[in-house]
Amino acid sequence: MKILKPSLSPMIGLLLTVALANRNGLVEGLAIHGSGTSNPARCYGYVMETMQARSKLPLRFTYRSVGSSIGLEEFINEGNPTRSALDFGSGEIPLSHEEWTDFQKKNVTVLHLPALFGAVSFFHSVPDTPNLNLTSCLLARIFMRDITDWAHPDIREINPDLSKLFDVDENFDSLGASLRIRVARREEGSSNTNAITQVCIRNLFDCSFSYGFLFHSIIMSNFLLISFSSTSKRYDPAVPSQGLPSIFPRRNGGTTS
Amino acid sequence: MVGPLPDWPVDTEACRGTLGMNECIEQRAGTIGYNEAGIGVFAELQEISIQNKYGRLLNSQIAAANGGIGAKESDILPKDATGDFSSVSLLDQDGEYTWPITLLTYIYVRNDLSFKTDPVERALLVAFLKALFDPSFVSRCETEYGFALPAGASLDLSTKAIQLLDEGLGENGPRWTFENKAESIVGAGDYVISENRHNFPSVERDANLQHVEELRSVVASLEAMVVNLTAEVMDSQGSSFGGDDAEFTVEYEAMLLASLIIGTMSLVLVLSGLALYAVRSNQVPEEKEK
Repeated sequence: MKILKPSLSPMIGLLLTVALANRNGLVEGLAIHGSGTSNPARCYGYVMETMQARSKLPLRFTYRSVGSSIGLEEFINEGNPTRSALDFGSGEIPLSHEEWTDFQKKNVTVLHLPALFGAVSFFHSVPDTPNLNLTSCLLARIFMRDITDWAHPDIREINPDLSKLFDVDENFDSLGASLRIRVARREEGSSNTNAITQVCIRNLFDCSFSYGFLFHSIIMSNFLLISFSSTSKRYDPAVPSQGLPSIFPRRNGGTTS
Repeated sequence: MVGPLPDWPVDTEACRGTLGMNECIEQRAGTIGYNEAGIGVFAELQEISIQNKYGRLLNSQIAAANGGIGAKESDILPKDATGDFSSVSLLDQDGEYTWPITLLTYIYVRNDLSFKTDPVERALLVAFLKALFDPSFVSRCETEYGFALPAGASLDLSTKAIQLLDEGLGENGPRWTFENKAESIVGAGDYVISENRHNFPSVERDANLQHVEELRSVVASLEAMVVNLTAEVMDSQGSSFGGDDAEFTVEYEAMLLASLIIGTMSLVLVLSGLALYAVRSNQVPEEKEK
């Protein structure tokens, strides 16, 4: 029987121990990793932490909140038929028809599991106004900066309480007091931005008739552009400020992020 | 990947992430923004009521209370999880209480899990997916984080897909099980997620969450008390309170003082609750190290 040199024995023994321990998940723990949309991150985090706490063996779960687009990209992994860049992905955007077909051609079956339904909503910080109503049409006009003041008659028409905030005459016209509308939007591409854009544009098409032919024409052209873009291409988080179209001439050449 | 799209108007404010959006709205009066409803409501932002396709003005909480989030999914989902989901959209669906901006969050997973070479890890991934559809794990996502959990067609679709993955583990492959009721010997096994097993951070977390809930209810009752006292003061003064002929008596002064004290107490309680929560959260890693 060959005897190992004394200096090597402890090292090999240690390596064997580490290898065996790692095999049984005792060093790094058994690991599951995912990435994708940030919306359900707290929910996934809670489930992961609960499972870790209830397991006898050490488990390691992680979830990177990097947005739907990156989550899907990492899952697709450039169409790699053997594996994703992670164990699971998550997002509000399904595989496009082209991506799904591409996997089919490679005999790779991809599963979409509907996990959660979430609502995207609008929030405001108009003082002393707990109840504020807006139609999709008004929302679109606000986000496109067609309406820039909370005292605008079209807003006050469906929010009579707002008139108390501003000095108005008997015809509902503002007498000077106003509150500028500040529009907050996501810097990076997001499924929330994608969703509000689609809904507002869809409804804007219906309401645009009341603002005259010119307005309608501009809406029409932008509507077609957005419809085509949103159905055929995915929002890219690397491209900042994707969202509602600027239906009016841009004021200084481009947005900043 | 994405072609040129129209830009936002230049005088809109760019906010980073969902929490950045909350800050943008909170910090400047007169701001309008958008966010995942659960995140905005949790931050106590003022939600705007918007009109759905039916014509009803509602906010997301009213929609959720009336089953209006994800109610119509059975009409538009493919028959099984292996299908083409590319045309699925829950935006602007029909229904009296349907929320117009509803998103469906998917888990994407490959049917062939052999890329995970360790069969125990492979089985763990399947167990994790099972937990994501188990109410005992995800009910908090509904009650605390504002999501609607899948039911009916969507739940059926996901359950069948997980069954498919489970079959892929092989007849003799390792499997993780869930122990809900104490099972002698079996529950002490290696591959068991046991509801009866806890570690210190999870115990502390649950205790802190319960403590925060209790503080919330105390603050709510104190706030209600302040409102009632204020109303009583106003009533006792009648319409002339504060008018030219009103007398500000010692009694009114005492009532106002009481209101102020109770208001201050509620503020102190909230702050102490938050401080306690923060301190305990920070203690967990230290104690774990010990």
